[in-house]
Amino acid sequence: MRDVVSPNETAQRTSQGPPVRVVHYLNQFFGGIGGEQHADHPVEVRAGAIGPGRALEREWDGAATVVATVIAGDNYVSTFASEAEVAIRSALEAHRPDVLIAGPAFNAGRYGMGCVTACRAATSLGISSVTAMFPTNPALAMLESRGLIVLPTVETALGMPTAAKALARLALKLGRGEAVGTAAEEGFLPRGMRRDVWHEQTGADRAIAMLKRKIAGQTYRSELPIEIFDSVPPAPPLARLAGVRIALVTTGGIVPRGNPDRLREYNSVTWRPYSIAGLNDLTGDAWEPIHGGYDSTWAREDPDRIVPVDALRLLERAGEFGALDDRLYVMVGVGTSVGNARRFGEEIALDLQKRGVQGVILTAT
Amino acid sequence: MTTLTTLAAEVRANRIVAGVRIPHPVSDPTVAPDKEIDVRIAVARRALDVLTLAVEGPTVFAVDLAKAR
Amino acid sequence: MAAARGRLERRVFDVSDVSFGPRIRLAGGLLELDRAAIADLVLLDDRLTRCEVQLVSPGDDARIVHICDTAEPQWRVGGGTFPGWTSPIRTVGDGVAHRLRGAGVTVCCELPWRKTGGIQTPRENIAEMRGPLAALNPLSHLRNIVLEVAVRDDLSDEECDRAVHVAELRVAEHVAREATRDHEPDSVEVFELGSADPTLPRVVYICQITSQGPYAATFYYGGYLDRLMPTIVHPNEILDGALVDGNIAGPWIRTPTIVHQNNPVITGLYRDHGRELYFAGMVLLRGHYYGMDDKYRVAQQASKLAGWLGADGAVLTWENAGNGIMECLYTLQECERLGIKTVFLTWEHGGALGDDTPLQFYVPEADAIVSTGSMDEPVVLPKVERAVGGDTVRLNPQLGGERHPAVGPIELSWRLELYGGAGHVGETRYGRVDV
Repeated sequence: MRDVVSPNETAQRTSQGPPVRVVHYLNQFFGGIGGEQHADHPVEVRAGAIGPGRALEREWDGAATVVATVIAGDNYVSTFASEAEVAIRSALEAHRPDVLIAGPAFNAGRYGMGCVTACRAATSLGISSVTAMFPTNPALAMLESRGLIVLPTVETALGMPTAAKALARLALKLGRGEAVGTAAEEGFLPRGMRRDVWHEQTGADRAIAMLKRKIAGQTYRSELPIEIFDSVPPAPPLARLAGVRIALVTTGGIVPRGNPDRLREYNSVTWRPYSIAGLNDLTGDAWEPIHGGYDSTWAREDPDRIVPVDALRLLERAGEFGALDDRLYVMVGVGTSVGNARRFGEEIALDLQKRGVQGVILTAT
Repeated sequence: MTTLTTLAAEVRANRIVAGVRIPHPVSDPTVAPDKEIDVRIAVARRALDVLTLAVEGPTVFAVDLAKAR
Repeated sequence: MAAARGRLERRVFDVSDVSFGPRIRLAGGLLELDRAAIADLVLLDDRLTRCEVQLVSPGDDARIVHICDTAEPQWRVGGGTFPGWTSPIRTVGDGVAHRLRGAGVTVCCELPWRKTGGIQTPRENIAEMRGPLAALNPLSHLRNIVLEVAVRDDLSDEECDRAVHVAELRVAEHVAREATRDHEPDSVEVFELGSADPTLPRVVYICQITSQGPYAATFYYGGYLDRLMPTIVHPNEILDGALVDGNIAGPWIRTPTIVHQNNPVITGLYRDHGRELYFAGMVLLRGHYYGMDDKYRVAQQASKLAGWLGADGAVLTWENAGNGIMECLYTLQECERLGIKTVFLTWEHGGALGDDTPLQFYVPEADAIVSTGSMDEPVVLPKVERAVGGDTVRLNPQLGGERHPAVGPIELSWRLELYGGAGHVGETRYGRVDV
């Protein structure tokens, strides 16, 4: 459960310099075009503040101004995200704001996606951005939302006054180029970027203090947000196994004896393909486990216990499937970053496609 | 193929076959040496079979090792 | 609900400096040690073939390498110090003990690397005595009595593991006893879960250790927890030497014995006992089971025990890395289902730049997490004047082991080799925050 944190400060009129220039992204409804029937509305730019944008201007009291409002229909942005991003980017290039504000989208998923797209367009131009939505808005589960500054709101537009206040405050700071504090200090949601710190108290004291608050029903802030992984649509099943090319991939770190490519025992930065052409099994003489995170006693005796080459060769010869690919794809899983693992998967998948592999068995320890 | 089936489901692997034990996910060294290959065959066969099954999201499939041993 | 028995009175003798002298003596905070006598004591065990005693102090232009473990000098006055090691297996946590606060006995040994990897490799454990990372190890603020030892060639890994620990613990007890017997302490700390306001929220500490064989386990009364079920222990047992750290294989991700002897979750809950909470007891379990069923079993058992202790809330810690987090988080999940509010104390990955996934496993109920920081940033340990414990450090067991001069500079791809850095039981102030 995330708290809705709303800083008490209000936006102040700046005593020097021109007002901060803001572009505001809204959906078709808040942009005043219409309801759901206008959800296919393409990206449109209008001068000045509209709807919630006016609430922002009241908060700023002259310190900032909405120079343009970018409006797009919820269906349009979610269906044509790349086109929408291009259009929003042009609008930003034309108006060159100091900061982009998107939403608030509350718990509207498509609107949330539009806000994410708008913020990404801003980021691509080096323009600061901030958006606001309900913490479990589906848009925030998307990989694309990682790294964006997102203020939490309640679920519905009843939270507009609070959200407007929070957006106004932080946008002003961003637009002025002021240093932004931690997520906890500024009140935005963890965005997948963390930094080492030295706290005042030990971890034990912080844990006991947090527990006392939790037991008492008081608000507390977790120091580490739960990560939700995005879903991957399953590949369609193989219609049959006859004639199918199967490949083996492993994170168990089985490499040719001597580890010729000097793979790491953990925290992989690379993967390697090794030939198993003509091999009926993996023997402990020719292969070894270099993975640092599991007891490799059994794997050392017989690497087939990690990568079942011998079993698959027998099944191949018995005609239970087409062919076992000559390549064994190897890496070490333990301590490997998710970012690298994603990259390995993409690279290996491309290679598999080139080799005509239709099914993969990936073994992990 | 992994023993840590819930972890695989959490990172959204869609077809997950439950492994035997962490240090030997596709085999069982505790059975008689000449029988161990049968365990691997059962596991490999199940993996191939699962590739032919439709799934809607992360799904864990067990291997019936009683048949192998 | 059985009243928790056990009154541990620790008489604290502060050490502010250490030097060699004709005999073991503590006066005015200065600890003198008979160098030859300590080496002789260690070499009574013929598993060890060499022992040199070195002294390393905070701020020294030095680092300590090949660390196997560290123990605080401690002596149970009625006998039974370090049960299962230098004395028989008997429940501790009750009685009078002397401790030398500010000192530590560290045993260093270049243990044989017999395999090119796997989890039971005695990796390089390094402790900086100065610099920004020094605060992450327990040695940088201690007067360190370092035993540089060598083990016989013909010992198995288990025997090597035991031999180095016996050396350290034997010296730790001996020094504490000889320095403080018949002396008055500087202060006294009493650990007793006496009766307290029954309306205070009851808090249980669920402590998970690891048990993955030689060099990769925490010893409980001198043995592996292995297939022992999660159990209720008295927190005093932990303070009084029931746990000894054998995780040489995981330098960053271990809890050195001296940290168990001063476990800050335990001392913190004691501090608040009777005032803001009721310290209801402790559950001890191991993680890193090789199958899911065992992970579920221990999670059910540990959470059940916490419930039997009447917990309103629980602090959960774990140790080591990888799949062991699952036992702890499943225990947490089950606690929450039982209505026990939980806080999870953990280190994280998250990548050197802080932009990668912090934990390898989550449960939705883990909504109150305290982070003790990340291992992931690469680091170059600077050149120092003096390396104690060995002349070279060995890195990369998967390449057969590569040697580098221990005085440095030493390039590490991440911080695994830094002793005790994870802060598993919240002993450091390190952390990571969202920015």
